[in-house]
Amino acid sequence: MAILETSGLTRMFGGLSAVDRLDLSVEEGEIRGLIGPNGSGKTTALNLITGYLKPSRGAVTYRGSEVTGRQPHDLARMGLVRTFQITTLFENLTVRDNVLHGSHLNNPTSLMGAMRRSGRYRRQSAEMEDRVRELLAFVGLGERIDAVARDLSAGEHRYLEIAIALAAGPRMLLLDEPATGLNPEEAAFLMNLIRTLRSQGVTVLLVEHNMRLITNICTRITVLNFGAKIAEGTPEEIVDNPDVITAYLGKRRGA
Amino acid sequence: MRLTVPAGWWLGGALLVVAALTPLFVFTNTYNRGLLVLIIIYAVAGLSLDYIMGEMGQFSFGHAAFWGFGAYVSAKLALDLGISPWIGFLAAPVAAGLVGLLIGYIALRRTRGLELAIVTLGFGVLAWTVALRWRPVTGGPSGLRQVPPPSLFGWEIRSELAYFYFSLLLLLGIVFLLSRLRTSRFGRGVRSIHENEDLAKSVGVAATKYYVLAFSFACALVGFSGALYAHHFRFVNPNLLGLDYMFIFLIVVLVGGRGTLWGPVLGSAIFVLVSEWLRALQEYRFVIFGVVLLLVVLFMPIGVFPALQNVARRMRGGKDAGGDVTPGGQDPVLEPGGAG
Repeated sequence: MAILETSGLTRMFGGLSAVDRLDLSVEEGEIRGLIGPNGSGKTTALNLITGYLKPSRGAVTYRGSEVTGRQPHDLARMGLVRTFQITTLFENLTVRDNVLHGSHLNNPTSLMGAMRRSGRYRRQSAEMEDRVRELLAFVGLGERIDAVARDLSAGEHRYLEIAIALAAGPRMLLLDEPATGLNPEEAAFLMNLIRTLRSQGVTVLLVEHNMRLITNICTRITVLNFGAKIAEGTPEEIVDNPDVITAYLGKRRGA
Repeated sequence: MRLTVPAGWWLGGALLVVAALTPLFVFTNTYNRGLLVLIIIYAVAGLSLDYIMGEMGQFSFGHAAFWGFGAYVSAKLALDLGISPWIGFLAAPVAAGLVGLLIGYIALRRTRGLELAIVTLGFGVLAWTVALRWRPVTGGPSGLRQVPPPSLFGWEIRSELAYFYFSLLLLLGIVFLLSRLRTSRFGRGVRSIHENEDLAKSVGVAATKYYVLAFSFACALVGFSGALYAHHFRFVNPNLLGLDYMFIFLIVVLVGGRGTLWGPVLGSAIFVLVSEWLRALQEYRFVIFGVVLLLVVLFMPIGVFPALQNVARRMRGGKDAGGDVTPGGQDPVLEPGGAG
């Protein structure tokens, strides 16, 4: 069953369509790649799906209910969580506090409990702290728990972003170019993380630039160009697709 | 960060002990003790403005309107309906909070940063004008007099000393409440929006709803401060809603230090005492305050209290933490709209 579907999803900027009648259907448990050259509308599509932009036309369906134009925080509550292309953290907070603030949806404490510092509040806080440590260990930041987020390296930034997103308890995770700025080892570590997430039942939509990375990990790939879908299939089908090659490399003269 | 809380409470505690003892040794006459009450009332107002500036990272230029409104609500209830000031102390924050909810709902759905500052400025000026013109209700420019003081078991809290200790106790309670609010789910939600609104939304924080509620809470708190003012100084007038007080609260927050809890308390003490020493200069006081504010913003952008915290830390051999507010780069006035 499809966990996420878009039909005829369109977003106009002035007279240009940044996303043009996009039909996308992501199955539960997939790692779906969304690729395309610069400016092909990948991030815009992601913004439309996650409620950061309102579509001009078309619909988004998530787990069987139409969610077109819903607020991002409502979608997060339903388990649809995204990361951002440009590193997006709570920069002034420590690594621990970043994940703690990301745990909003999994924060069971009550206002009165917090005011009174009740036994229940302290127990729930300790449980949250444990969960934060677990998540940080999972993304390889266990040792950096007390560092301030802005002091992290580029790779660590990316891992922390994923830990924050995971703290929200996603059923489906939309990652916008998570490997940007990573060296090959870091990228490999990231790929492993994504595979582990999938094995834990999280569906992933991966917007990526890096072809090798995406063909390695994705079950299926959707290719955009000028906002429209030009190809879809398994990684093998995609790398041999002449339209895709043309979109990425341009047309050979005289061909 | 672990050092911040103890250092803050240690310094703040010292501040309080000094404050609690001053009326017995230094501020011995009635007039000077009245200044101490004023310090506390401005401190509460400063704390509430700092909830908007330090916690939300936003700006309200209409904050004094809620202060004056709270003062009027409690004063009117007592004068026209004979309702006890104790009820007024509850009714003022409720009323100011409700109006804050409405204004916040209108303003915060669309605006942040500089735009919000302008929208709230417009509201503040409007409220002040209405108070000035609506004579039958507000008493016009001369305001209302003979506001009764609160009484406890038949004994009126009329003396400066009694009112000082009464409001000092309330101030302590408010600082305590605010410090715990920070680590609540709500407080963390507000903080996360301040840090990065897009990211906060992506992890499920209903950003606009939280900001509207936080704004309303700050308005309720300043309304309470207004009621404290009304029942102590025993008059209210439209100027309480005006820009003079707005600037006082702003000085209290900026000089003391944004986002530090104790900062506005210290800022308020500095403001009231310095302005008293400069009393002979009359209106020129504000010129001097303008200059002082400029110097503080330029050379001590984190405020006096965080600067003291850093000194305390250095004496213990620790490192500067730079306060809870990052110096520079995060000024809501310079960064309208936030990320994205």
